[in-house]
Amino acid sequence: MQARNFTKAFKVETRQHELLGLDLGEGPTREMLIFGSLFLIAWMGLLWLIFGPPTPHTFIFYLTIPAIVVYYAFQDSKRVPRRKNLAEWAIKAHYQTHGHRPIIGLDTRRATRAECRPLRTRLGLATIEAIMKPWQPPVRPWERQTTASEANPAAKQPVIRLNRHARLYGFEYVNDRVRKINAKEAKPITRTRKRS
Amino acid sequence: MLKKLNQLLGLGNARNLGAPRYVAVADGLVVSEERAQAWFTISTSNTDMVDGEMQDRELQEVIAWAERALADKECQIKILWGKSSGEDYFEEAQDFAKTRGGRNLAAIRAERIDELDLPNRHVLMGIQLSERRPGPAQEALSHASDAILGTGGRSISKRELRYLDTEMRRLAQSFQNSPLRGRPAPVETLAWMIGREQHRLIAVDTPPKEGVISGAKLARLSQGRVVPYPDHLRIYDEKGKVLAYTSVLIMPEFPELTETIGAGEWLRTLADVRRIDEEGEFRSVIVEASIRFNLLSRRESLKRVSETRKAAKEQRKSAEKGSAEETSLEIEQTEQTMAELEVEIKRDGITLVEDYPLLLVTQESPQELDVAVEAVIGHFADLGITVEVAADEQREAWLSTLPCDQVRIPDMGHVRDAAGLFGSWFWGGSEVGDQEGPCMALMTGSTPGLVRNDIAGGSARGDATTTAFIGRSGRGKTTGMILSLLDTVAGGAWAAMLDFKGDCTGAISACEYLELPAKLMKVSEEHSGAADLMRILPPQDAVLQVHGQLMLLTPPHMRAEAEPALLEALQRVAEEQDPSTWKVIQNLRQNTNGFYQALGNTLENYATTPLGSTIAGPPREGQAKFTTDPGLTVVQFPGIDLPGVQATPDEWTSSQRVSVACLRGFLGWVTYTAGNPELRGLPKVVAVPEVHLLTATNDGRAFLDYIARVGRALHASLVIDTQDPESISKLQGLVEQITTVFAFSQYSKPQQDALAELLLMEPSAWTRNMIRTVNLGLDGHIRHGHCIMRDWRGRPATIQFDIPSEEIKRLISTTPDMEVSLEPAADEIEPLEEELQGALA
Repeated sequence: MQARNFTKAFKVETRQHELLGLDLGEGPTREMLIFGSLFLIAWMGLLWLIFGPPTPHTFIFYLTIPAIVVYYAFQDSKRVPRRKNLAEWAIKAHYQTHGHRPIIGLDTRRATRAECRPLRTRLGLATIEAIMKPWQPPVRPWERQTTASEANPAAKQPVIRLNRHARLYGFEYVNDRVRKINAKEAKPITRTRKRS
Repeated sequence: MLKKLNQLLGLGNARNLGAPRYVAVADGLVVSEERAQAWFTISTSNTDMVDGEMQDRELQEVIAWAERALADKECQIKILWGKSSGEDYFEEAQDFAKTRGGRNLAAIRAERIDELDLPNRHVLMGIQLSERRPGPAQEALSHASDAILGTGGRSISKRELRYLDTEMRRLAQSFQNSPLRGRPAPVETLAWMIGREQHRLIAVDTPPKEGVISGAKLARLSQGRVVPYPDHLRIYDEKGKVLAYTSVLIMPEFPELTETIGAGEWLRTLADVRRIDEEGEFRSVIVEASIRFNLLSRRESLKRVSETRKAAKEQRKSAEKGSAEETSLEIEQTEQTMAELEVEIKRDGITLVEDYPLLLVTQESPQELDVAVEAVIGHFADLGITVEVAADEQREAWLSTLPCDQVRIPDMGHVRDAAGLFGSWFWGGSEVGDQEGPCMALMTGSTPGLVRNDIAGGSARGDATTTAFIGRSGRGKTTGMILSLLDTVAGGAWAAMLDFKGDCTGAISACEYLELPAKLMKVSEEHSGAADLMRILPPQDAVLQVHGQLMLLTPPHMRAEAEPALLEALQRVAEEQDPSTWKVIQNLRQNTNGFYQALGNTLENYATTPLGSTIAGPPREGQAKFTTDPGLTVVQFPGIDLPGVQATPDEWTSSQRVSVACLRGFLGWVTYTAGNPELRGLPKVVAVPEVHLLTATNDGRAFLDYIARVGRALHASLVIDTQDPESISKLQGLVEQITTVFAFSQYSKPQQDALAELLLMEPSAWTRNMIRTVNLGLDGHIRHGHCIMRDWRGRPATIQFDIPSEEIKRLISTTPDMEVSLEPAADEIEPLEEELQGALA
């Protein structure tokens, strides 16, 4: 017996062959066209608000950047070719906002900030830092290790460094300090309270 | 706006929803705040050893059933793996291994089961019964009351539960009669399914009240902390230690056309995923699966097909108008496929299924997880299926595998024909043997597991009672037989083994090691009178049998006169105290009649030969004789010389006559014990290795036929082993009584065909090749003890006989270079006891 999978057959990538009487040839995909126009409007609106209307010199920033973004956004993802890059980016963004949240007792309570993986690790800032420091030797795959700190997110927080020094004070100095403190405590403390 | 964008990208809006909040779990039911599902366990179908035609037939039946029963219902298949537990086995063994030795054997076996760490597949199917989502006003009211009264909101009314139960039972009825043989999942299984996801395996220690788990107990089951990382999830225990690393994988692409036998069986092959460990050995990777699916109704299918066809057509037309002139080939093909599909749906009634498959891999460290995930990706790549880690969406993917959840990654769905989903054979694999009883082997098919079989169990289920071990020499037949006998003796049975080859001494050593009652009897002067029927049977019953034996020993020229003389002497001795055949001979010798004296002298001469002495020799004081007490007796016949079937008794040599008389002695003892009404309740097993030696004689044939035919009524089982299935297949009476067959390899075509028929399989090139190679490993080495088992239900599967410990292996070894002495076995009982007590403590 033969089994058939129609997943690809059902996926019709519709293209726009003409727009407002303009022949677009093979045409862009309709998804790209819709998203592209929305993104272009949003981008132009944002720049307009900040820098005012485009001039012949700055027009390129108003148009090229969204065009490049849209072009890459609608390329097939390398990892999962069924998805566009844009979908992959959206999923990545979703991980940062929702997807990283620990599931505690099947969401009976929300995880506290301390229980979540810190933003720095989530964003992979350590990797970016490493790229920014080209003088440091890169970490090769065989040098990569899963340390205990990776297993325990709390231990991933910055290390508290203790810098203790001993100093010797003379009697005069100590007496002087004590006198000053006593004088300070003798003053009545007045506090103003905010009225709610 | 974001919702619209998500829809545009196919990402859906279920990603941000919280986890399912369970309200109640009952037999066959899981209820969450949002929905209620009916859950069924699905039995494994034996597909490994079934030919393509039968497999296709079963698949068609399943599809036809699913189209009827599951249409337009949201369903979920979960394939989970549990572990076979030694502790559970030991507990169960209290029912079937009642003797002290039985418990010893069960304890060793339990330890072995733990050591093997065998995965055990569970296939469950959930079907959505109803949406329970309350209306907005109702929800607000319930939340407010929860806040004020602190009720927690996790409750279900008895009325609703009763309604859901009725709905579930209605589905169960249809499931029961389907080829999937689904049964409502017991509440314990469902609790295990929910708890194990977070590795919180709190046993449901007390029976659930009214069969429902709810409230605190349910909350405890769903406790746990799962932290999503971009490519995996970490599951923590109460102390913050990582319990497991789990990765959820998506399956974005499948081949467009596959055969349902072979590459199409993508869910059956889950057990075949292997990785290479540090020592370079293959280890199986546990892969679990969750598939949410929906069988589209005809209307829905047609709607979708029509929409897609119209979109493709519109593209073609629009391209024709412009400078593009023609659309892409892909669109053209889609239009054609959809047009054809439309016709198929309308005319042939083809059903479309929409499904969302996800795989889960769990390991104990991130490194192991990486290797396992690679192995899974590689395994499916071989089948033409793309598998990827669900990167950055582990949380959503994992939650959507939970019961009572929903599809959260809608863009990774597939649309196929029903054969595409059901042809994955998620319920296929191997299944053989019983659900309970002693375990002596392991399944080696696509679903591993323990094989449980009791060779003395036929009578209890009202079935025939013969078990046959068939195959070439040196493949592990006798070892398999001994292992099965040990289990039977451990259960308190009486067992006799007629060892013509003389290599079964190990059975005795193993019994002594395990503290099971056992005796070795050798046909020699040493055991003079041990098989004397006058001593074993009630004398009046023995008279005629001993008469027959002594007539055989009588030279032909004396027979006519000897007949009344012998009978007279036998009758006289039978009335005395402690009668014996030796006394009969002495009685004849002391007679004043010259003929009587001559006859007595001749018989005495025969009775002093090694073979003759066991049945008619002088009894020795204090020596063991054949008994009817439970335990194993191995009888060895060195130097036995049995005549062929063609030879008439007149042509028999004197040595053959003595041999036959001797054999009759033993068979008489066995027949008496088997047929004794006083021993009817006692399970009895007669084991005959190399049965072709016995089938070559008329006495042997008659004996086998008798035991096989009356076995069920007498609670007596027959176990035979032979290298010659062709000759066995001619003994119709015996073949009819065979319930279980263990088939080892055979090389010649007639033997392979005879064996295939005994296995209830069609003799074909495929079956012949399977029988030839069953004992061969991948690299061509001989796999001892690996065979095809056909159980009493007629299901065949490949199994591997498993010797529970090295010590037992050494003791029961039948290889000629292994000298097993009986002496050390007694000394080894002490350390074994200590060891067992340690293990049990």
